[in-house]
Amino acid sequence: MSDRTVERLAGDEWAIAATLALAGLGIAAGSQLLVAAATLPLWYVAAAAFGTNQPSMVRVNRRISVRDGASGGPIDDADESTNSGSATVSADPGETVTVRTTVQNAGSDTIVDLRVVDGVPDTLPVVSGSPRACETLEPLEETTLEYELEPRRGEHAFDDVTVRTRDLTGTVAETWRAGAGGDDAVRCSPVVESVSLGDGANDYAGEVPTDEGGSGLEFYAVREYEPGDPVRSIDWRRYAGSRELATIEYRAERATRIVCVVDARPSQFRAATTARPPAIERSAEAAEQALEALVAAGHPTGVVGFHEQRLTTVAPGTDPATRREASQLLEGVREADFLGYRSSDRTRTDDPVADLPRALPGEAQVYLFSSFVDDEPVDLVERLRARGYAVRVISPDVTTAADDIATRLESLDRETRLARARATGARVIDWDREQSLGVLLRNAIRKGGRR
Amino acid sequence: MTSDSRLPATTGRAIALAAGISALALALAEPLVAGGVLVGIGLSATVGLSAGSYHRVAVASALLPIVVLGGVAVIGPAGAPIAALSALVGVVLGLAAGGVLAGEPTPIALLRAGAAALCSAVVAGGAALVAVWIDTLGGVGPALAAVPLLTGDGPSGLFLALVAAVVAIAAALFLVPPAAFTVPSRRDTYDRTRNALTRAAGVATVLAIVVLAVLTVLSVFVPPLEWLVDVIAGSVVVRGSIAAVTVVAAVVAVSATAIRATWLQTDGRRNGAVAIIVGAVSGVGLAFAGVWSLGSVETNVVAVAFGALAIVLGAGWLAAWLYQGAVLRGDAPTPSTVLAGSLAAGGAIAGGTVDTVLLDLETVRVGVATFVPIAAALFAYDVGRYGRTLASEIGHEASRRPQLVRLGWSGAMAGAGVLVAALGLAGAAVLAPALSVPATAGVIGALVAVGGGTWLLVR
Repeated sequence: MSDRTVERLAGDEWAIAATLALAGLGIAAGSQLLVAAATLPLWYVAAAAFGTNQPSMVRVNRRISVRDGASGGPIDDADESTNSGSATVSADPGETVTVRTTVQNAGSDTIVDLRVVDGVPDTLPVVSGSPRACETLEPLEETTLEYELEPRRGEHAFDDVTVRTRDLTGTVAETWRAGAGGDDAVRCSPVVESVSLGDGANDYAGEVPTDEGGSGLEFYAVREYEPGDPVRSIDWRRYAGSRELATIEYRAERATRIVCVVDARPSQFRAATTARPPAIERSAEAAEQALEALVAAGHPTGVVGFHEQRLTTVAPGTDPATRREASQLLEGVREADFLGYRSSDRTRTDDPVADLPRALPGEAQVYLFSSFVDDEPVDLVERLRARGYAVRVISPDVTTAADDIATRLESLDRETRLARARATGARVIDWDREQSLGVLLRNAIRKGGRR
Repeated sequence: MTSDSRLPATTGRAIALAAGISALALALAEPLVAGGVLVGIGLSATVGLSAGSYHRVAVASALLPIVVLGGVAVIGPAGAPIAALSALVGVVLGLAAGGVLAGEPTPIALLRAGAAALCSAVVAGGAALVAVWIDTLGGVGPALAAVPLLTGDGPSGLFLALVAAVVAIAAALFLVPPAAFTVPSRRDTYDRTRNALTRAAGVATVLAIVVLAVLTVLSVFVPPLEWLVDVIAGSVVVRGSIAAVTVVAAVVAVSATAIRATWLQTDGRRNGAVAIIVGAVSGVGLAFAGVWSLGSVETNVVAVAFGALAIVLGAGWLAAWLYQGAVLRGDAPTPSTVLAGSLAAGGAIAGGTVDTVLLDLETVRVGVATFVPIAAALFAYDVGRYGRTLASEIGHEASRRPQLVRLGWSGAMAGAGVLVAALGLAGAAVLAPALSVPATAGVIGALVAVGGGTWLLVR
């Protein structure tokens, strides 16, 4: 707790001036009413004269929780806050940080006018609520400031809380900075290696929980016994109580196969400026990082190069050979090798948009990397969605840097295409140049439709 | 700290409530105050509407001359300067009360309201001239009968009317900005259509003139044709239709010229000129028609009223322009300060009308009209300062409880002050021979000295 400042606020001169003006006016006009009315401001003068400072004491505690911006439910919370300890809460971009700062009147007198401003880090914008409050607090009564912040990359420490009290007359104010117990910082530094997988899954056993009953570890439901159910799944307790057979189901855990489709057509050689990498290079880079993260997590992942008149494919897998072939394919795409990766599975086609869905495994999530500067990717997304594939789109933006009208119109067209892709149910991420690739991939991978 | 110029809602409502009670107290002494307050609230609403969409700006511009005409009607017949001054205080009171509730007017709202006032002033000035002309002709009926024949009697007058009509139509077609009807990509089509319409009007006029000329020449040889020419040239339907078309086209052409001029003076892509001009013309037109529809108003009174309306609106434009400049510089008085000033002025005016107090109902009536507004002025100024500080430190959405505590404290002081002043006044009435004005002033001086000394000691 820092030093306190007591100041007497200017406030009674106006009342003295009003008294003199009314008295003078009354005397000049010969009006007893106005002379009598000149006594009215004197009450305010007296109030200002007798206003005194009453030392106040407050106790401040801050609690920070993190909420997933999409689901709305809390997914992370700091340890229970205490007055003595402090904690740093981790949050990721896209989530919402909720701050609850509780201020309690720890003194024995009522604070008639308590103003509190929480020490929000300058770098974190307040998106909802207010970190400021003015309250009247009885002894031991408390009030809570609740507001939400948008996390930004880095570690952000909260400052002390600024407290100002005023007496009843409003003429004396005391200001000081009070230290807050509990949480005092927010850290926001996600790494691509820590990305979690979404819920999309296929029919193979794996580690992604689903909304289906089956074999697994987590309890899911109890249903009537059907002939053929394993004996170990029977609920013997119920049978002992009611003589009825019932089968316990556990939440099924399935594997997911993922195919990264990289748009390698000539239209993808466009770049925002000559100093920046073209879309195809950025797509290949993003696909490679996603591939590494997913394979490291144990999910079979493949790659498809989507060329003008051919498709080059590496089937999903987690073995070193698959990773090596996928890396070579992406390297060929990145190096603008027009001949393409010489894989054994290389298909010539006149209509790659129509043929690509046929080249995919039956149950898979599709990650499409394309800049969407023409209509083919939209057609591809529509076809994939029509066949029931879960589709994620990561679209590097190469239309934002220029100021000319033609590029701006192309940017509008691209946004329209992305909107059409979203309308099909695909999850679309518009990848601005300034946006972190790791964060982008995390957002792309973690959201998925439950089966 | 934030820069929210509005007072917190609870404080703003409390000040407005105090202003309302004070207005009722002032109306006890001078009933015209109530009318002035209503006019002020109407003006505040028009300024508030001016900050919104162009539809609202048009409505505000139409309401402005009607509300001001109501103010002229309220204050004009007051006669006594005290009554007129009280009514004026009521106008300021209503205007400031609206500002307290809705916040300080924005510069753009003041700019639009000022432009609407200026435009309405010009139109009202024209309406006053028309009223004078009607008065010289002896009434509305003779004036309406004279309008179609302004260009003269007979075929020559009809020729001139036709020429005037076609010139007005052509001017309207060419002066209305093409953007009112089309988009740049279809500008060529619009030009062709406009030119075709102009040519059609010209050809029709020429044909009519030729036919009329032929009939006129032939009527020398064929006497029955002379009767036909006289019927056509003197027909109320023909001349009235031509006059109506000419007047409408002239109004459109003048409005379009004004709109073009305002567009040339702005750098922005948006401009409320159309809404303001259309609204102002409609508002003054409705007011003019409404006054004539009453039937019982003398024509010279209408001319004076619209002349006064033009002057007041012109003064309003000047006031809005000056206040806008003060707002932009950041040194404009806040609405709560203006409201406190108007309340104090109202109380002082009411109190200044009584020299000697007696223990009778008249003194009670004037005493209420003096003490309550002055106490409310002190309350409004005190809690207005508190509310501004609170809004600046915490924001407009500050919680209600501490505000109510502060309002209760300030209100209690104002109420106790009124009570003690009333008791003191009653004592002065009882001791009237002994407690003259100088003696009362001496008592006040002593109280000030005691208060000032205490203040110095405490500090």
